[in-house]
Amino acid sequence: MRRLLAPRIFAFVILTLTLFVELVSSLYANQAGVIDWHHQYIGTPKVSFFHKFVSRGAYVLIASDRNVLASINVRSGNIDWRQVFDENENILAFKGYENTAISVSQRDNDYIVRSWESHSGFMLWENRIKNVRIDKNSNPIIENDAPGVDVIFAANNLGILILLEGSTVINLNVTDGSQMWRSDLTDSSTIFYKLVEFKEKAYGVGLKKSFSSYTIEVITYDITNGISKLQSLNSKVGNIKDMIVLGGSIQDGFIIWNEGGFIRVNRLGTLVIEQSSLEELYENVIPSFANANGKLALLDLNLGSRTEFLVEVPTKEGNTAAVFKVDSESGRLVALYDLEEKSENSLYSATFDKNSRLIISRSRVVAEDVAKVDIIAPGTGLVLGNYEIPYSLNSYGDLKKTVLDVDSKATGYRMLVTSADGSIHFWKDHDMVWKSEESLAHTIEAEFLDLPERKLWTQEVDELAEQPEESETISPLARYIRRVKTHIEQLKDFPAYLTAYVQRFIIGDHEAELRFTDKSKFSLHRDTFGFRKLLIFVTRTKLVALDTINKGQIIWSRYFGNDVFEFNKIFIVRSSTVKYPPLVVAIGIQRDSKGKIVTRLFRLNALTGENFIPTENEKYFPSELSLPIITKRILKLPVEEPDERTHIIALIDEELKFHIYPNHENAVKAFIQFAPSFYFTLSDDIGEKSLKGYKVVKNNVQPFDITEVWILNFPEGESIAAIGRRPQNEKIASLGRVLGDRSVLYKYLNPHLVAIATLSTSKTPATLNIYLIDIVKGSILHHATHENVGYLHPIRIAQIENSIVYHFWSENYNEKGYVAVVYELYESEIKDQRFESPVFSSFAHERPYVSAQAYMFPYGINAIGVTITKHGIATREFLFALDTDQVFGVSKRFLDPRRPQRVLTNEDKEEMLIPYDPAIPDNKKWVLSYHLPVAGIRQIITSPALLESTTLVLAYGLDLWFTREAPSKTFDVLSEDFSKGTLLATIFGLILGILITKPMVRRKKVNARWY
Amino acid sequence: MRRSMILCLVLFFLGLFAIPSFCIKTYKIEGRLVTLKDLPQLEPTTKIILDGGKYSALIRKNGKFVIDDVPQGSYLLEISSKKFIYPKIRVDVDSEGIKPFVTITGSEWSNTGPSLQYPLELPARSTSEYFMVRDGFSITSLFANPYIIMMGFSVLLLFIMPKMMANMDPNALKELQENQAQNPLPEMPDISTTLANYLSGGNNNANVERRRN
Repeated sequence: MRRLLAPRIFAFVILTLTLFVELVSSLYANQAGVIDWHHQYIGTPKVSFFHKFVSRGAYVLIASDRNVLASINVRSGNIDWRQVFDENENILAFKGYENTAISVSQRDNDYIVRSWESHSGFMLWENRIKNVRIDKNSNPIIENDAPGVDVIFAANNLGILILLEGSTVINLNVTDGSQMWRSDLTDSSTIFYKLVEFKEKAYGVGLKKSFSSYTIEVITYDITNGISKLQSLNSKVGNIKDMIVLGGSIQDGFIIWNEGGFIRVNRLGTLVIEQSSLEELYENVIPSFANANGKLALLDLNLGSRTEFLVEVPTKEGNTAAVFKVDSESGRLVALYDLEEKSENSLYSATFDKNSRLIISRSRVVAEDVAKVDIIAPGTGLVLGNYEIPYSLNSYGDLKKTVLDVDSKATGYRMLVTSADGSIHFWKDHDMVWKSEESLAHTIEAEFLDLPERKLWTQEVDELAEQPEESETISPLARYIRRVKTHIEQLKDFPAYLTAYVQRFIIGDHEAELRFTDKSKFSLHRDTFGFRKLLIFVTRTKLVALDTINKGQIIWSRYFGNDVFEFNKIFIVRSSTVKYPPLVVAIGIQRDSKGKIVTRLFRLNALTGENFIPTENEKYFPSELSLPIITKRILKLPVEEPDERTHIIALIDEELKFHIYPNHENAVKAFIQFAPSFYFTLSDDIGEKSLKGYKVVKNNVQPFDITEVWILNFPEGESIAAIGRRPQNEKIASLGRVLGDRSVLYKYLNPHLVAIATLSTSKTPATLNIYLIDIVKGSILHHATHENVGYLHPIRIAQIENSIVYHFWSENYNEKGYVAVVYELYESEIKDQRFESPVFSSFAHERPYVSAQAYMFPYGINAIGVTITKHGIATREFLFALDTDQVFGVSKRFLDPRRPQRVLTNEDKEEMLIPYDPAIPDNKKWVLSYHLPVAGIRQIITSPALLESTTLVLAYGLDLWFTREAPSKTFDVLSEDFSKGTLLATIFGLILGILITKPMVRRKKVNARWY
Repeated sequence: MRRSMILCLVLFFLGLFAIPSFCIKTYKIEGRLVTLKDLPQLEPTTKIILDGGKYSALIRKNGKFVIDDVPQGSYLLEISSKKFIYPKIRVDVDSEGIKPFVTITGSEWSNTGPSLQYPLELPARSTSEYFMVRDGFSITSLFANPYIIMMGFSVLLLFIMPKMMANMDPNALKELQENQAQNPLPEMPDISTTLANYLSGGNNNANVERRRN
């Protein structure tokens, strides 16, 4: 009786402990920003300008190609405010005016004009403009750099004039955005692209298509009432780039165009045309133009009402340029300054200082790692600055755009520079003040890379690297001495290690240890808990590697813009193993010299970003490769070639040929061995109407042929909306689920199972179909239908182990809102029953038992991720990227189809089930990203740490956000709030107590003997 | 009005029975967000979403919002804010006007909550609390701990009991002692002994015997 009690007490202790463990971990306020980091991005600027308004200082306003409006602090590079538009709402124009900024964007067929408070980012008003004639086909001159959209501010607050689609002009009230007048042009052969306003009249300048060229047309508006008058100029313009429009507001406006051998100038509002001969220009006026070797280009410097502009001429070795001005009195051209010939491609930008002096910058990259900026005042010919700025051509590519500004105290020249990879740099005089890796806003894919162990690195230099023959020649004594030397070498790091250890002990900061090791020789290595990994990103034309610790610091980046038009895949083909560096392969497309599309492959050392060239097998393993194919699908095969131990990559081209990389003899052998059990699908992209299963034909000739094994046509009107595959790095701890009565439901774990969601939009609301398909034989294992589903809303599906979660918008008669459905697949509905065959085969006729449950979800989502831990023991957590720009973690225990819809029985309690509730609670404590605005997330990926409790989470899209998540709390490390001080104090207290009481007790005992 | 109807009909027939978009009567949903104290606390990115993003609007500086071009129907209106928690609203738009109600996720759609006034005046329910509150060390929490209370109580008894016994009537004391001798308490297993035995794996009887001595 008494003996039985002991285990019961233990059970009680454990029970009370588990009661204290919360269902889902959440953060304390002081943990925010310690383990997680967040990089905010805006994308590559389309429009950027310095905006100054009274005392608030200067900031840069940017409209980007990711449809983001942002204000950036010039001193720190921090984002002051940011507005992220929907993906389908393109920003066409952005312009600042006093303390507001006006944006024009297009969504479907509507134009939206919004006014923003420039320092806070609050919207002041918006106006939707409808029924604008949109006829892209007949508008050949509407291009990205001249979209037929222009915004100007009329003097005396007479309104904001906006030109849309080259055909409609509206005048909006400055204060509330209400429309004052609107004028639609009916003649579709004329496209207007620029507005100028002066003397209470507005002018629209456009081009009218005539026989082989264009004629300039000018429309004049009365600003107050919009009454217009159309005029044609006697002119011939070959291209929109041959014409610029300058001036306006406080002075007259001018049209300048290049026609025949002349540069012609027209003062707006008149029909007078002044002209200057190019011949004269080339021979006498601008000396450097004598070497001209091509057509001149007119460059608008965007100087507002100023009439200076630039003429750029290519020369044999580079290019040259000169500054011109239209004299507002005479309306003639005046040459101001010859910028002279330079052999590198230069970028120009201009501004004027507080004395209205024009200042021009000329920037160019002069060497691999140096950019040069000349600051010139063309009026006086003074060179104000001549700066060399560190700039890595290898990381960022060439310069693409510069915007110059003069400090309000006129002490420095600062410049916002956009580079070819899409990044933003901010230069001030000699210095790079800040930069932002905006290429990451265009991330295509990202991967976690495990770092090699530190021990292996030291052993590599020590003994492991040596060959057996070599070892024989070394005497034991020499080896002993070498070993001792190594240890002494390591001893040097000991003081630093000790301080880091004490620091870690006191403040409980795990990263202190990592910071210490950063200084050591081999800085890229794994930490004790496996929290440190590399994140390898592939963007449009760039590879970037970030550290998961140190706030996501960039380890290396490499620009491929000269070799690759666009990347589409990245694979880690070899993870960190003893003495071999980890390898990645990036695959992209490029046009060759004949304009044909080729596929490019690059194999890099993942720790440095350099091309990896193996010492021995060089000829088999080209690190850069060009294949004359257009790939349809690229796959990483779960098979390694024997020489370098890299995974084989399969490329399937348009003609359904199957190429492998690397393709040397041994790799082919390894692949042929593997091929019979290899099945894959094609046409499994979003929007496809059928799914096809393939298999490689065994013909031993490269490229291999593939054959269609099965085809699955979805019913009429259905197309694929989302696909859920099991993650390759998932770990499964147990084959079954133990129920309350100690019986087991065996999990259905089919590695070939793909979950596909299709939408049928033939009627609205749409119908959602879910298919679970075995891709080996193309059989549908389960099918479910949801009626009345929103087709505009994203549908997302995730699969892990034996569970599948999907999310959609439902508008049934009796429910309206977001729905999350969870499936769990078991081998049988009956407890303890398994499939008969001990080996799982897709060719068997067994179907899983699907148990499902649906919940109302509190938010709309953009992506689903699942936590993956080292052994898969910790409770899984589904991570949802919410449309409120947050990441929300829901424990598997809440998304569990076994949640009982009754009062909990003892067995349910034993299984630790939570009673069913139709809604997933909107618990703000489950928001892992707390109040951070993690915008534009498209994907959430996870990777296990060495601790079973912890998983590393990365969300990417526009922003990057990284954290370590412990779905069932950090049960394997001491909690951060564990007070080590108290523990030490208690121990010392007890020791002290013993020391004091020991003599006392002894004396008492002795006394007791006496009396 | 009449003329536009005729125009619509004409276009309807001309356009081979496709309804021109401007003939569908649309409505404007307006409202204002009220925060707990004052407006500048609102984030400029606060969005008002109708039916999960079918229609949406950004908040304006004065806290007002307008959702344009909403056709007739019954909609779920959500406010997407990181700082504040707002109730979810059901908005019914029909020819009679716009009627908002409070709704709760997970309840049936036909089950409308209390109706609200229109234009909407939405006060935040509370601020979003993302962090757990750390219960720091404090003397009061220490004294609220049951173990500490138990300890304090036994220490107290240690002092009071001898005094109580001393103050007791000698007869009553004698009686008590006799009672105790007559009915010894049934042997209660005490946790510490059991645990000790369990851990040492030793013979508990021997232990008990030794204790008796």
